[in-house]
Amino acid sequence: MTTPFRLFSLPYVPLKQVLDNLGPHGIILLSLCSRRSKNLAVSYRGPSKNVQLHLMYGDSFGSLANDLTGVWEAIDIKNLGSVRLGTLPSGKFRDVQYKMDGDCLVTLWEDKLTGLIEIGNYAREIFNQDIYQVSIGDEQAVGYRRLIEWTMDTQKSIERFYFGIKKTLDEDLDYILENLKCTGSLSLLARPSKNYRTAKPLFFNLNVIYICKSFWITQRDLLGMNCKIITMYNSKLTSEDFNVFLKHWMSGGCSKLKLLLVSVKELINFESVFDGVEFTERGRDVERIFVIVDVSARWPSSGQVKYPTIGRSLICNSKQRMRKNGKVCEYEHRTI
Amino acid sequence: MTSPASSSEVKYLIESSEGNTFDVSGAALRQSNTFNAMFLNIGADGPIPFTDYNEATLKKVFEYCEHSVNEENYSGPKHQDDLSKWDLNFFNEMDQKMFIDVINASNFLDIERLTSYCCERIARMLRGKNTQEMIKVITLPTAEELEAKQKVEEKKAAAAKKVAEKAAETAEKTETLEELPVQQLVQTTRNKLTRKYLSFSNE
Repeated sequence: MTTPFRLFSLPYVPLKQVLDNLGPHGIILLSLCSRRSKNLAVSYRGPSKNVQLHLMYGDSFGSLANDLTGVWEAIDIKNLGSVRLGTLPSGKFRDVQYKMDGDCLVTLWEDKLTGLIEIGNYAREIFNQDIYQVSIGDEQAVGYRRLIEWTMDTQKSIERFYFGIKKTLDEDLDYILENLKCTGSLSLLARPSKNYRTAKPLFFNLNVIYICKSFWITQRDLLGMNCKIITMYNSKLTSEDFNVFLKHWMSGGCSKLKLLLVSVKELINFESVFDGVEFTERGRDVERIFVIVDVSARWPSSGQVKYPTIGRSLICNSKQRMRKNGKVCEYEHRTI
Repeated sequence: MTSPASSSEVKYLIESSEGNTFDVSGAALRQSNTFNAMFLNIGADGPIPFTDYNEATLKKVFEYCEHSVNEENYSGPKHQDDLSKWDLNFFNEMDQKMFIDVINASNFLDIERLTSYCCERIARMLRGKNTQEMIKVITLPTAEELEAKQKVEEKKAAAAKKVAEKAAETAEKTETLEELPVQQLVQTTRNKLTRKYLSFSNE
């Protein structure tokens, strides 16, 4: 049956069930039809609003996604040439040109970042929730500070933040570290200058932190990371730094830590790492089972990298513990 | 209410808005939570009046209930792709008015499975559509239509305003003339003369 249908004549329960079946894409599109349909979308509560709003900003587009599926994209109008598309019918997006790419709504803007921010504002209103994740992707994602600024102005913090621009100015990285209040997971692929050091001491209280080019992380910064999972590559931390961190952890510091994975180029001196630390050496036949739910750590694809792992683990066939409270430190040295 | 020997074969009489009555099996009727709440324990003495719905709608609804009597217990919404050929025919042969009536009746009778299928079907009509297509499906006025309507209303309002202004103007003129009758003019002139005279005599 594809004949016209008076949706708003439905009683409350069936109407809600229709919306339950629409999904986030449908809720957004319905809200854009008229003022009444927008009010309906805003007041609706149900499974179609079980979303984690994710804003992605790259060089060619900005996108609102849910579970990495694009819901609404913003692209620069100049990419369209002289073609004129249909326009959205209602509200603040009236007369914005658009097209559909499958289920995804693609809108055209003079400036895609402005469009993405408008989309973000609208999505927060429709779905009655904050943006869950912001990802800044490609090298040419111009003006991304504005997106961070908007995020911090409109909501107190962001659960997940991914920064994928590798060539980053030192002041931009300072800006991110100083202004971004991330509460869950922080991934930084930034590559600042060789001599970069943070303007202020770092302190992170997160579930996951991932730093790809972490040569600028000092011992002081590491001690300020109270995170469940810490993953750092290209680190310049030394055996002595790990020794200090190990003692800090044993005395109760970084209490949330479950896994520390650091890739270093210099050889690790185990005597230095374990200097002043009581430990039990185990053979390779001992089974170790790490229980970590949220692992976003990436493994290096190639190269001879040695990295120590410190974490809370379940160890089979062993009764030995390093701490009376049940915490076990497993130090692993691998070459891949 | 007719009541044959076996309880599973109990038939109930249903009365529609036209006042017509027809039989529905107890098994089919028990799919209605409304019926269960109202009549299952106390029974019904005489026809059960569902007089907000016409006979055709109620028959359609109970046709579905009779068909799904032997289906497994309902456990949440079923995807449209899982619908049987019978189900598809059942929905396809309804026109829009009947479809809406069936949803309303099913909602009132609280027949979860039927309501859920109907709603999934509406959602399916909307999914994958752009806003313009969606507006057509849910019969919302388009922006152009709204604009045209607004213009007509503005014109009407302007015309009404003009008429009102003209009427007010005419009334004002009449009022001016009526407010100053000859006697009043004479009185005013007299007062003025009296004041002049008094001031003169005082001097």
